[in-house]
Amino acid sequence: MPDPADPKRRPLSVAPARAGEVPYAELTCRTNFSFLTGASHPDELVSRAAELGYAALAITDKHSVAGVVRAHGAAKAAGLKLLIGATIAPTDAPPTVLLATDRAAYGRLCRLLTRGRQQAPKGECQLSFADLADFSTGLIAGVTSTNDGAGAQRYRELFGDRAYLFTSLHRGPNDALELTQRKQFSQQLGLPLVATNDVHYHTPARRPLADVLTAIRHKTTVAAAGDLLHANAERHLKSPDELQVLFAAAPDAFARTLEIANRCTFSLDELRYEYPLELAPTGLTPLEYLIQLTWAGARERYPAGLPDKVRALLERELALIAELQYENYFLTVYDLVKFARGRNILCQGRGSAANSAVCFCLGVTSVDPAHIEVLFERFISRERNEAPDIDIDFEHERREEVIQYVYERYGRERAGMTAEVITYRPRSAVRDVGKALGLSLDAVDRIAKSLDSHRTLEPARCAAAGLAPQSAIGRQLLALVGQLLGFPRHLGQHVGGLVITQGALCELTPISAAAMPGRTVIEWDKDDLDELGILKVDCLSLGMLTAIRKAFELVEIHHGRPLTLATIPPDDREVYAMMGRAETMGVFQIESRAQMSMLPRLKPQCYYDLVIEVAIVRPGPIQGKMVHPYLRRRMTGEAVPYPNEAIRQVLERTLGVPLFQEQAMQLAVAAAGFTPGEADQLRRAMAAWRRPGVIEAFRVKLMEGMRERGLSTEFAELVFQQINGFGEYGFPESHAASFALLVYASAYLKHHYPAEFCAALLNSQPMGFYAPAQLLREVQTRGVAVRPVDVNHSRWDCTLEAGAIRLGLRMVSGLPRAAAVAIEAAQPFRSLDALRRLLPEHVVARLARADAFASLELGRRAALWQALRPAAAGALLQGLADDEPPLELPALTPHEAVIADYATTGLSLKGHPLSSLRGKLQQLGVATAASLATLPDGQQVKVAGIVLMRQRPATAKGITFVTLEDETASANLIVRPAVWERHYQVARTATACLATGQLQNQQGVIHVLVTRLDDLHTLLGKVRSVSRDFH
Amino acid sequence: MRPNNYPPRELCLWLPNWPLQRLRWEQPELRRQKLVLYEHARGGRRIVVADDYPSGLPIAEVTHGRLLAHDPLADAAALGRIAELCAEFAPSVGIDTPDGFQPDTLRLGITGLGTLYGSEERLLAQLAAALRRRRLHVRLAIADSWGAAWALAHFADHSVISPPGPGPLAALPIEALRLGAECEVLRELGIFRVGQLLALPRESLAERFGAQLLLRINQALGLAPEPIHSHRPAGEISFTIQWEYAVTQRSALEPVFAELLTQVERALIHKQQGALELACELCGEPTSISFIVSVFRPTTSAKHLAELVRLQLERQPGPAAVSGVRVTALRMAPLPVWQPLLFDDERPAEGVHVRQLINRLSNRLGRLAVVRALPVAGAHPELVYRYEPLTGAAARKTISRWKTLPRPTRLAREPILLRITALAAGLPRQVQWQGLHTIAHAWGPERIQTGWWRGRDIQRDYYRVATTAGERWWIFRRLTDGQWFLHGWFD
Repeated sequence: MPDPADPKRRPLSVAPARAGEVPYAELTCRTNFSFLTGASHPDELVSRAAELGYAALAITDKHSVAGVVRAHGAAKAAGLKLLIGATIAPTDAPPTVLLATDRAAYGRLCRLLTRGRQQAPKGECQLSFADLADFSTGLIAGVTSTNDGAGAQRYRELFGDRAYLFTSLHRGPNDALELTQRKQFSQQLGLPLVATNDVHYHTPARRPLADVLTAIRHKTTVAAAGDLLHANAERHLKSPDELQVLFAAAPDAFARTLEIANRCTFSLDELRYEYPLELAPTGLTPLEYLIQLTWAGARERYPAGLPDKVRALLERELALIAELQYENYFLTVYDLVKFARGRNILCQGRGSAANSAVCFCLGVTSVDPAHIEVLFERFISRERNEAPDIDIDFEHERREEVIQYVYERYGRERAGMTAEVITYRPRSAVRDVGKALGLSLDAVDRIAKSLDSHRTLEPARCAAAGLAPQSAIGRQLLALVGQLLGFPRHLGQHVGGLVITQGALCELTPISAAAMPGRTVIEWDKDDLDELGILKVDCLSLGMLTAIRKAFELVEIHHGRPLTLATIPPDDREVYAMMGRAETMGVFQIESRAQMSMLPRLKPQCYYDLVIEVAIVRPGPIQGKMVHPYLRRRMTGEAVPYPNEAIRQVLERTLGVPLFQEQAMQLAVAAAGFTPGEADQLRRAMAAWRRPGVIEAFRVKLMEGMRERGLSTEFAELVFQQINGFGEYGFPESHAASFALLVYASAYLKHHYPAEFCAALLNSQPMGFYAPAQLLREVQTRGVAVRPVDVNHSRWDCTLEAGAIRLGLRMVSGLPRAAAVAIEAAQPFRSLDALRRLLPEHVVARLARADAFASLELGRRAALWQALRPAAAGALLQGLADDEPPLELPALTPHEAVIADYATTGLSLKGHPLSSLRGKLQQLGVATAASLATLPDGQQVKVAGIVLMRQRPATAKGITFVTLEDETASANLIVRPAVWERHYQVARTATACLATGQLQNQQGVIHVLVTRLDDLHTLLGKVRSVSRDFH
Repeated sequence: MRPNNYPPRELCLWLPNWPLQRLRWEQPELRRQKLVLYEHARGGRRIVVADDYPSGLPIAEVTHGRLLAHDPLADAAALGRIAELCAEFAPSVGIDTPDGFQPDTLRLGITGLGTLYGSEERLLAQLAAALRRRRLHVRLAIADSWGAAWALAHFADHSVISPPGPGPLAALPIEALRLGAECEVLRELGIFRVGQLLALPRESLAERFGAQLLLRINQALGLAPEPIHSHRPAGEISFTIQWEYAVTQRSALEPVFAELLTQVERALIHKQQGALELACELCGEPTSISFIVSVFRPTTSAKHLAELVRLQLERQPGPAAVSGVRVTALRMAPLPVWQPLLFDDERPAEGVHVRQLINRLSNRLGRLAVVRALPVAGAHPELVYRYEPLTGAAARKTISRWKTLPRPTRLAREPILLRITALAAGLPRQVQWQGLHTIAHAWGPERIQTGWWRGRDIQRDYYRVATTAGERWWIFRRLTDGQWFLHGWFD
């Protein structure tokens, strides 16, 4: 599956602030976190303010502090004083700017926003003046209204000498008059007047974008927006000189900006993160407790005695943990894992945490450090001084239990989900800007579509949409889209990031209710948390863990063999042989098409081969051109030349080819003399968006280091390129190792218990690459019988009947689970009427359509005819013999029956939709998918089938891989962009295709290079789309 | 002749792809082109009907063919003209208006007409020929119920005359019975043809599918009546006077109009409406003329309307001989209701006079000559107003945004470039424009930067200035090059 490109933009490299001659602090400034209002990124504003020599800049987004961390990072780099605040619009008082003077006041501001969010629907904030009154201490209020004297008076009474009247002049029709009036107003109320510029963007060049944002906000076009737009571009960061001239008639208002800036001493650096403390039992410090747990765990993990390597690792790690005071973090994670184990929820740590022997001994991760190269620096390093990051996978159906446990254990005051900033992507940006510029929706859509793969406007498509890229509007669109890309659109919820604190979380950042019931979410994303050094635990969900647990349960019921991840027998030859034959449908990670074509070449023999298999079919190694050298060396056993012994140590286990992120880092250490911490910084710099410019410095250091060690420039360049390839896509070895454990476990289950494994997969849907139809077809070839859904035999889940799989009611599309529960409770049924008395008519009809009445000797049509009869008729006749004469309805043809099966359950046990069409297809000269293997390479072929999958990996230059399935096998198509474009409609939407093209058979890997695509739909009738599209 | 002497017969006339046919009928030049008609739907433009694409497809998927907007009103109007044409063949013609669909089918009641034409075949042939001459592609069917005729016209593969009885229906698909969602379910049950459906017990069907299915079956079998609704609309206010001989005297027309307008007045009062626009038609030989009388506020007064007609008549080069006159109310609006006053006051009377003046001027000089300015939202001074004719439109409130902005009463047609002869503190001191002016005071600047999306990005600093002679101007400095312009006068 292609990784989505990182939508994050690179922050500016900021110039240091220069001391201004005219001292001025801007106290009202909106970033683009005032969604669809602010037209500049926080760092752009900070950087420009520093350049202009501002004494300070306040970030005052509307009802939000979501942008302040980004501004803080930039301000620190630029040496600019940053004030933290927000703009508040109470429902019953004039709007005001609130600025935090100290840590406590900031906490109150967060509490205030939290309350506002609780009182409003998602994404909004509703506050009254009374709410403000509860949290006003230490906050400075800058009232912006000029006509509500009574309202402003209330602010003065509440905030006392911390209340001001903010005013800004934007070259309106009557600036001079207005300033005079406001001076009077300020005197009457006793609110000191303060000059601000109510900044919306950092440079006047952003005015068009600000206009577009206004139009988007009001769901109109720029041309029709009229007075909604500002009449000029004055809301940018102006030079202090210019503002001083503007406020020449009110010099104290200008001077007062500094007074306020001086009153605000709060900096986000003061947010000292505190880990939860209650995890250690009384009498033990958290560190002592962690050490105790670790050694106890080690004894359990290594009953035969602790290997020296592991003992050394543990000692080193524990020392570093103690030094950096991370013990509470480990205890927090340990607590979660202990909870999950107690509830019999499968879980396993992934990612860099698997580099830690401590994590292994605590049971957080499962990769044995005795067997794998671990690099603790990848996880925690002294140089980095960033919070460690432990990701844990839980069963996808039960992760919510873990999250709710966190809330229960720490309270909603102390825990929340991390935010995810949803930003403008090319498509959404084109769509919104296009609409605001008045392009018709379909023209906008057309252009937006052309952007998926190319990221630039494609002239042909634009012209077809009636838009010349060189025209004025074309250029405006391009420029504005370019500016809008990466702008935050709204705040979402990170998939699993949990933040837990010792103190009140809502004094750290505002918390709001998430869209999902029972969840709360903070305003900062994971990078913001990193910047501030705040702990986060990622509770991720993994469908395969659910499937494995369900398979374990079925194995225990039907074979009496209790299995766990830890007790699966390792190194089973037959299991590896099965993987070598690429019979891995349903197996974790190695079931994809790319993996399946790799398996027969790699022929895994041991656990470590699986680690490599998982890591090698990734964009990083593929782009770094490491796959083929590795396979060649493995197949031919050719000797690998290593420049020196240190490098041999790093690369030997992967035959001289760096496959893992750790190896890239170790190479930097071994070949260029980096410290482990520096190597980790290098890896982070490679992640592209974080610190541009830094990369170049690392490159120089890397090349020089290698030259000093007598390595050739060519080799050095190669190493740099290989490391570069990992930036975004490479797997850490520890991560691959964690996954490989699950690969083996699922393969073991598949080989030894195919029926149980398949049923477990079906009961964990949706997950994996394959639809139930394929999983079932495959398991049937392994000799497992499959029985259809039946109201008298099926439970909700798929079950096993004497070794055969009985499909569950969950396979009937659209059947509510509650109905299935009612059916389970009332089984068996002696007539359809009995069911009708239990369930609503449409549910019975749904079951009839799914042909689930075979045990009552009712065919699909006869059952439907009965089910359609209104329930009232049944109720009247309750207990009486049905007087309606039975009806002879035409029988379904085999083909009709298969089509109806697909329409209702997405699969058919009666045959394949294509088998009855084979006669027709043969006349058209269509080959079966199975016969492709027997045809010579290069032959022109036609092949037809249901579209199972469309995939466009980011690494494939716009090529789309389509999988077709007919009654014999599946066929893999390669569709080049030009062909895709020519047969756009069919290629994109058809559920069944006839493809014409050239057969490619390379070492048994078979593809059809498509030249023409046709829709089979008219021949096939209605088939529910089972295709899973990945674009 | 009593109609019930004859068995009922119905003729159905279907115009497949009517929106496409209609366009090609009206614009023959489109005959050789592939057409794509679209409508604006939620989420973008979608195809209504096209030569090479299925309906409902987003326009974004279209690669060839000429894109035209679908115009259902024009389709309906043209169908009305076809109905008028068919009225020559049968006394009662109706337009079939199915729920939720665009009409494209006509119904002709032809009971007993067969004998009139010799046979139904000849009626069918003559009607077909008349339509073929107009290059219209139609499907025709005659049967003894409207339901059956509709089914055969839409689903038989050629035009047919059905003998009495359900026989010819049996082989048609069930959709031919004008069914809705039931079709889907019936097909699931294996019922594809009308014959299969008719073989099922009606009671069981009614129990499962409701009364509508049964009604449709009975309508097809001629067991349930389905009255025909004439295509001519009812309730229009239109009055005509025709003479045996043409009138040549213009003066003779005035009393005729007076008479017609009195009738119009009565009809309007009856409906509690006032006229906004009247179409007046002088039918003559060889040509007819028509003109439109429009008024500022809805009125019923025949006297006032007659005066306006006279003003227009004097402008019109009419036909030499007029054989008839027709007056039709084109647009109407509810009459304003006045609160009756206890004592007479001048207010309404005065309003009436102004309104009558507006009406007279408009009808004398033309509607577009008497206009008012309406504000348009935006910052660009040249574009913040538009003109609207005073007559012929319903009354509307204007927004009062101009009251809050310091804007001149007169705006120059184009900003006038000023020659500055002296500057002081960045502002003009002496200006050359139709003489030399000295500027005494200036207020501003008001900065206006707008219009980038029009390709006319203006960047101006506006000042209100007073000259020593007491004139007050609105001038601006173009920020791009620093030149000064005079843009308006505060009179």
